[in-house]
Amino acid sequence: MNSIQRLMNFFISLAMILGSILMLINPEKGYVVITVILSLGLVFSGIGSILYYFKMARHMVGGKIIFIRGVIVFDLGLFTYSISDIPKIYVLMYLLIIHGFSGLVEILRAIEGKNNGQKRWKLKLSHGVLDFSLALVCLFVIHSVQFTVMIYCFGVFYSALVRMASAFRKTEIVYIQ
Amino acid sequence: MDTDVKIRYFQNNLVTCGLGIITLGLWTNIKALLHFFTEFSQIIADTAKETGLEEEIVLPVFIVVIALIVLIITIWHIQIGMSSIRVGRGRKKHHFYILSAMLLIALNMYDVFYLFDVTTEIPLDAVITTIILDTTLTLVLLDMIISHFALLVLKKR
Amino acid sequence: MQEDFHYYATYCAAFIAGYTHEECMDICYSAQFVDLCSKSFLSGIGAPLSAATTQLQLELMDVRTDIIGLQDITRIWASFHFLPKDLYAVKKWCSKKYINKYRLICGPNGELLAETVKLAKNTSLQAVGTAMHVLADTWAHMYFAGTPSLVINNTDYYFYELIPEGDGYTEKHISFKHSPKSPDNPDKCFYVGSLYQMNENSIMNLGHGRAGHLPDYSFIHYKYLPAWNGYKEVVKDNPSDYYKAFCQMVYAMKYLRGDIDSFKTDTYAYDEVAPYEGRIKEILNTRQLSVSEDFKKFGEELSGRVIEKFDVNKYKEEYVSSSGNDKDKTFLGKFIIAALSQKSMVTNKIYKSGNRLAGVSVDYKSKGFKGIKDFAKLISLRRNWDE
Repeated sequence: MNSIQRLMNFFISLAMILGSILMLINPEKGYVVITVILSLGLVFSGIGSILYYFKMARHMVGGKIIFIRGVIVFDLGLFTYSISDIPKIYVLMYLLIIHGFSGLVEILRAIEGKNNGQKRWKLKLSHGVLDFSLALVCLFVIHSVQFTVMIYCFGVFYSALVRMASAFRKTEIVYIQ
Repeated sequence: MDTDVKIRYFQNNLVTCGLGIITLGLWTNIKALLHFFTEFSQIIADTAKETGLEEEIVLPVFIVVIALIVLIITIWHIQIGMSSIRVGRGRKKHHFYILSAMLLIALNMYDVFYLFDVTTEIPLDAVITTIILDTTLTLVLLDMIISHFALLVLKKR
Repeated sequence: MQEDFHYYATYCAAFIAGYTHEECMDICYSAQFVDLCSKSFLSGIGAPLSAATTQLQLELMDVRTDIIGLQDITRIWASFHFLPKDLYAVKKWCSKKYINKYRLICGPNGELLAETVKLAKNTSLQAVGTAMHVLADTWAHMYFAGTPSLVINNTDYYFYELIPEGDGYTEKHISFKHSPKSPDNPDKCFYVGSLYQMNENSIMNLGHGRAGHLPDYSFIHYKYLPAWNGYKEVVKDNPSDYYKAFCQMVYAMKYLRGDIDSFKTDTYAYDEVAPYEGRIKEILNTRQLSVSEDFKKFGEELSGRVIEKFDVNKYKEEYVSSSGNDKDKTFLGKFIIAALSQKSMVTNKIYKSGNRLAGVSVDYKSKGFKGIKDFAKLISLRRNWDE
């Protein structure tokens, strides 16, 4: 990881920690902020995919699927923004699904890393399992919004800590003396 | 372009378009369901008021109707997409899915024009997202139809 | 390519070119060592990390794909395993970013190959071995690029093995599974390939990962659609390509020995190899994942001597126990110099073509020494040679 990436990871983690604290103190404003950040991320990712298609992937065999993916992700981002003004519980469910999905992806990546002999697969797996479990628990106690918000915030907080830890992890390069 | 190269291009296009139609169709339906779910109580209340029926009666009927519509539309998209993929991979030769696709294009165009009707009270953000998705789906369907016919012409040669 | 060709076949080619058994062992060891000289190995012996000629799977799993990481990956893979064929290739209506990656596509008989072989002239047997590895890989790894790129290195479902039947071939569809622990099974057309990743710079899109190990099997004959070729099919006849690689290695080594005045691309020592053609083609067409034993037997018959099994730790002690400038005189020391030279040359050529994917190359004469300290060794060596 280079210094810029470490710095970016640190600030993203800080934003996640602040976001989760804000959501606990003031759930009304907190989840709107999180939804807006999430929607912006998705919109830019979608635009990125579309631009990538026009710059590079249009020359690739079967590259059109990248354009379609870009449109879907862009639309997902706009949709995420549009639901930021609806009742809290539905937004929470939507955020939980996304959180649960990212947990599942992390688990799959950890298993793949383990099969390829990667060292840090256990950390990835534990992170993924925790994310996914939290999302599941939240779905079962969704009737109690406060309780759900607490569990969700804990999940975001934990993810932020893991990200921050990876930002400070030493890169394995030996310097010849 | 060499004829073989063109054939491969259009076959690959059919497969890509097929995948795209399935993905776009699924996402459109998921979005519609989420929209419905978030405005659930308002829709039930409005419908009960208009029809004069009790909400307890309107609710299950509404759920069944919505579920059926979503299921039919999902299956429709998957049918077109899978047929396109099969034709693209040379496993099947049929044209019915083209008629099906043309009907879907007509429905999409109607949906888009309906959004421009200023008398409807659809929020702007919903209008934009729907236009983007429906337009993309229409373009993908058109691309698929063009590829299908181009492939027919090339294979006859 | 694998150990069967880089180690044993290179030994055979070196012997046919006129080298002695001991010289052949040094050459073939160096050729195979290119596939194992990773940063992990070099750090273990206290050697310059910039001399790394490969990246192990474990290193690749943790490597970052930011701009610096990508340049490091490209320097290694483009210099030793996917030597670009044409750094000035032209493709219409493409962005600069696309063209840069397109120009790194590997292929045999490019200008860089001639430079690689000439670079090894009058140096060391280790340099000869390194050059032979690079030469052989231009045949096996053609149509792929030594930089992570989805738009260049991707493959799709259109992948067929061409199995000889009578006068023609039958096509058998190949599907790749992402199951690293399962071995390839040629009888069932079951092959392992890397996972599809939509990210342009993902490690899964490096080299021929998307085609699995197929380019490295000497027996296989297949066709597929490269991502960059505009839906034009490519037919890869590995037995024929490997035979050409073998004959070209013999020709190159005859040049390096001084038997031939100049090295020209697209030239092969068919006459010298002719007495052994049947035997070599029989080995190459053997439908098995590795033909090491067959090439070993052939090599031992040629020289009448035993070819030792490859041992990556063979020269470790010699390097570790020496100190200062004496390290450069050891086997690994000479290999390191050869690797640094090759990497420096290829990076320079790529940079001069206007492509920054392999990083920046500094002209020492005009700008003085800048950059990675490990390469300073080449400057001091050049001074010694001049003196």
